[in-house]
Amino acid sequence: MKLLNLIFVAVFLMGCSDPEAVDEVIVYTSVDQHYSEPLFEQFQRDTGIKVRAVYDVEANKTTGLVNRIISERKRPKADVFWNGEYSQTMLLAVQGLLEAYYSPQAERALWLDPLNRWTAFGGRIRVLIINPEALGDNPMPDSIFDLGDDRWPADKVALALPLFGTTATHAASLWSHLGPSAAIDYFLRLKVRGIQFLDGNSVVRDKVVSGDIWFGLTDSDDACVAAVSGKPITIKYPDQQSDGMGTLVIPNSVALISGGPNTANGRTFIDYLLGKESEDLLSRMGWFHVVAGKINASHDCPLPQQIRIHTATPAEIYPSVGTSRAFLRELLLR
Amino acid sequence: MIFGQTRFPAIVATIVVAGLVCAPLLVLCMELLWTADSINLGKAWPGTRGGLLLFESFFFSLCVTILGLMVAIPAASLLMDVTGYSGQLLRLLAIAPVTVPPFLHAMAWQRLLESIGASTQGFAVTFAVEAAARLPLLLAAVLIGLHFVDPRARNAALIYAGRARTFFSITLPQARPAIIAGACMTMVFSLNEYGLPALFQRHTYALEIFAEYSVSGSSVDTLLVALPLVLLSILFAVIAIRALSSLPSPVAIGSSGQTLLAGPWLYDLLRTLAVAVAFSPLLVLLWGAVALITGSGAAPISMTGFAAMADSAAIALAATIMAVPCAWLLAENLHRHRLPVLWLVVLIGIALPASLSGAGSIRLWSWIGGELMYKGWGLPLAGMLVGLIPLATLLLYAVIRNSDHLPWDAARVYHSGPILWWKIRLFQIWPGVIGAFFLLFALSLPELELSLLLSPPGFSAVGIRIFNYLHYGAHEQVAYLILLLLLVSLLLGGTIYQMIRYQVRLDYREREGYNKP
Amino acid sequence: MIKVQSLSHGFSGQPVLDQLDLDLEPGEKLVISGKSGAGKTTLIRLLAGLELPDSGSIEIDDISMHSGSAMVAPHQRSISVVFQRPALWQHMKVSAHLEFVASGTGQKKESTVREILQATGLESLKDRRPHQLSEGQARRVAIARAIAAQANYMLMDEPLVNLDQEAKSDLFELIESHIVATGMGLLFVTHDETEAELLGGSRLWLRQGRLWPTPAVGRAGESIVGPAVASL
Repeated sequence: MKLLNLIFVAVFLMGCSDPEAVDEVIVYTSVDQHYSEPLFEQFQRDTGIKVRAVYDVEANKTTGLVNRIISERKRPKADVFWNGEYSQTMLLAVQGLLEAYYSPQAERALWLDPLNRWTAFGGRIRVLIINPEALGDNPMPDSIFDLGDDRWPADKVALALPLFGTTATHAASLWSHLGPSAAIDYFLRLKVRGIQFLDGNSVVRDKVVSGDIWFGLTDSDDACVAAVSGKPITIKYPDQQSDGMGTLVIPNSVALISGGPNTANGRTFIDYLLGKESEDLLSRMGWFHVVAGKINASHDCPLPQQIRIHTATPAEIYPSVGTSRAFLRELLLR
Repeated sequence: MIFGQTRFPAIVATIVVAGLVCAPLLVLCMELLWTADSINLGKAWPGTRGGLLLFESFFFSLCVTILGLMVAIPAASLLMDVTGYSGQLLRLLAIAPVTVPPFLHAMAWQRLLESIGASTQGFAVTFAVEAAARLPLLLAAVLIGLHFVDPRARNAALIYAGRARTFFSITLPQARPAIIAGACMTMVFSLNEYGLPALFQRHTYALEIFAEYSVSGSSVDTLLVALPLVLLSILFAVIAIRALSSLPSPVAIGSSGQTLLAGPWLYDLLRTLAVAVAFSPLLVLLWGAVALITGSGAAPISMTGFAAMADSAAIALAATIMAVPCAWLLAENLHRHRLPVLWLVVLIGIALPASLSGAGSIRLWSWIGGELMYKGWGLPLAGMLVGLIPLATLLLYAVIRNSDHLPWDAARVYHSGPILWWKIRLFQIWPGVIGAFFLLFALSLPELELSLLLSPPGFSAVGIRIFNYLHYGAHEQVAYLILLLLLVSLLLGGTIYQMIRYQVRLDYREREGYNKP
Repeated sequence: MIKVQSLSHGFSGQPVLDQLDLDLEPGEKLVISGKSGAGKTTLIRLLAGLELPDSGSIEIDDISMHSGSAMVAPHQRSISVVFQRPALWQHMKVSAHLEFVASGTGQKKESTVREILQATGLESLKDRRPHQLSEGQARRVAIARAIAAQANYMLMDEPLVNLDQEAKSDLFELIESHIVATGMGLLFVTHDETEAELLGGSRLWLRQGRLWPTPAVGRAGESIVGPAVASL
């Protein structure tokens, strides 16, 4: 029994021991490990500051990290939150969990919080991913409104459940751009038509690749994974007509956590992340598709170079996030 | 001089373990009370839409469980008729997929359905796939139940009735407690599953929890939204516990020893079909894994994948080593004192969704834990124990209830304290202890939600890796993981089976007489 | 001395023992007979501290064994018990059974075990595990284990049930030579009148939850001799 007690205590102490006390920064990121890990390694090489990261995944509806930061409010453990979109970052700002920081690199940013609590930079694009083979002789879709058009069978059209991640932000942008009434009509139309609301953007991609779905709305990074690996798909920006509303660009956002353990290193990391080298790396890897107002050409993904962007800013879109999600939850979670 | 029969250190240890399990919920409840003015308590009432969703989720889980049982019961009855090592191997193979997370089952099934051009949406497909994913667990429960049936009672009945009638009238009722317990735990797991149905475009009430997080960012609001699901889970966990309390003692572990006499043709046909279906989870997983590996040029598992596996294995092992003794303590207390408050602790641990227990753990330890818990593995260990201890407690409680009480009483006449537990009890329940180790390790290795919430920065968890791989098409890594989990199931499952068999044989001699073979 | 007064106990509302009184002196040999279900095993378990009585008192050597919900633990009562089944520990060798028990006596473990192994004729079996024993050998180990405790009182709950006559005779001899001879108080319960007669000593009959000096009571309170006794 004494032996058992000893093992018990040893395991617990081993578990509680500090792995290493080094110059470090703790980054919570919802950007996929596939893209963020190489950047952390490069940052560590260039600055000597070790990055200890915590990742989120789509399968958890990317709610894990925000939940964790809110729960750690009394004893913050993260220095930086690097988010693949911005609405959850703005939720943290509203809850008073972010510290204002204006980075010297902020001029490269796409958008800035007026109170400097977050910086939006880089960007992914909401795109239509199409399987031309499956589509056959049917017309090529070119608008998000085509999802609700009877020219395409409803069961061959899909988007991710617009309650989580970038699709939720996209829905909020429609609330902001079209007005609540038109946005509600749009989603009611999709629901009544019976299109497929899938588990995530990567599932939309996989279903289009397999031909089970003819086309769907997804993120450019998801679509590019398929395109680069040679899958027979076409990527189009929706609503590029001269009178179209353009497509939504969803920037990354980065913020300093208030009261984090390594705030100075956190600032260094934010400066690095917003810098040119990081931008180049993330562009080459295919995480950024919009860089400095242009389409990223340094990646193999066959994205059209001309783009008409939906002009709504995060500050304009965020107020609609709550109402759009509340409505869509009532409409779709049943 | 009067001595208490329960020793003071045991009481303190029990209180500490019980506190560890239910403290995260208590912290959230305290926060709820403090912020009651600003919290909308009405969120606990699901409303019409939420109520319908809850009912649908319940109905879905019920259908999954019933369909699973409809396959598991006849399949298990035929598998039990196969004697010798081939029978043991077949039974092990059929339940091996129990360690593979349901989401991976779903991915494999989805690929198969797509490859043959079948539909991958709708109620029927979703519930068939979820039933297939839960089938190994149900099959394991039915097989355990059938192992507990006294073969003498069955053989006596065979003199007067045919095999089909004997099975349904004599064998099945005796196996009922284990089957009910397995079915109820399947209900609990299925009610809390959101990933698998979502993959087939079915939404369950469990998804409401994430929708609430996403909108409010409040764990307290989310707790209120989750409350109906928690209560429903508790209800089924209670039924499972009651069933476990009435488990008969096994008199022999192994096949029935009957020769394969022909039964009514319909009975045998149904059983054969059921066995074919029962092997489908294993075959589909193997097909999926092999197809992924060959289709992707057989890329070996990466070093980062190995690192994630090693990290997760280490933390799962540590959590398991800590959880099993705690569970043993609770199980012994439940067996001896049957305290309702301890049952409540176990039920809370089983029913509370991982995301909520994780959020509660962070609040708790940031409040009392100081820096110690935040360094290294302290916090994820504490968080994992919340869910693992109650599960292991249930298992060990069933084992302790079934252990022969007389040798235990004989030891109590001469000793008390640790020597008794260490030298006598441990050897009575060791198959259960090893089984609990295996179960907890298999559950905590690919765990996702708590890893996301509680893993220390820089920690590489297998659960997170799996979904990253799935997201970026590196499916071969997942395929290797599936194969590894199946292999672990077979090796450890086989070992534990032999241990239990040996132990039961010894107990049988003690109970029935030393001159018996 | 074991002194039991007004001991009552039941299960699920059904009384098993009802206001039972009993005295057992050190060195006394008391045989209690009773039918199946009469409460013999319950009485043994209550005396051993394996169950808490509903009411009444048990004193062993002038120490009260329970008060409210607290009671003296079984191992502190200076009793040893032989159960209806051998109740052996399957993972232990024969010698380990005796060592386990002897380690609680405060005496030199090795010499005690050696002596008892010799005295009970188990020396050749000392390295065997329970599954390598016959029924009679297993019962002998159970009795040897009880002897190794060197307690003041021995409680035996039908220890010879299901044994053939030859094995019974062997074990009677063992009980006579090593338990009765050492001056232990022996409480032997059985449903078998033959065993009771063979063992001798004081006799009581457990019936309707109490102990009686006669085997059975007729309608008018007349004593009736049971068929087993009559056959003797």
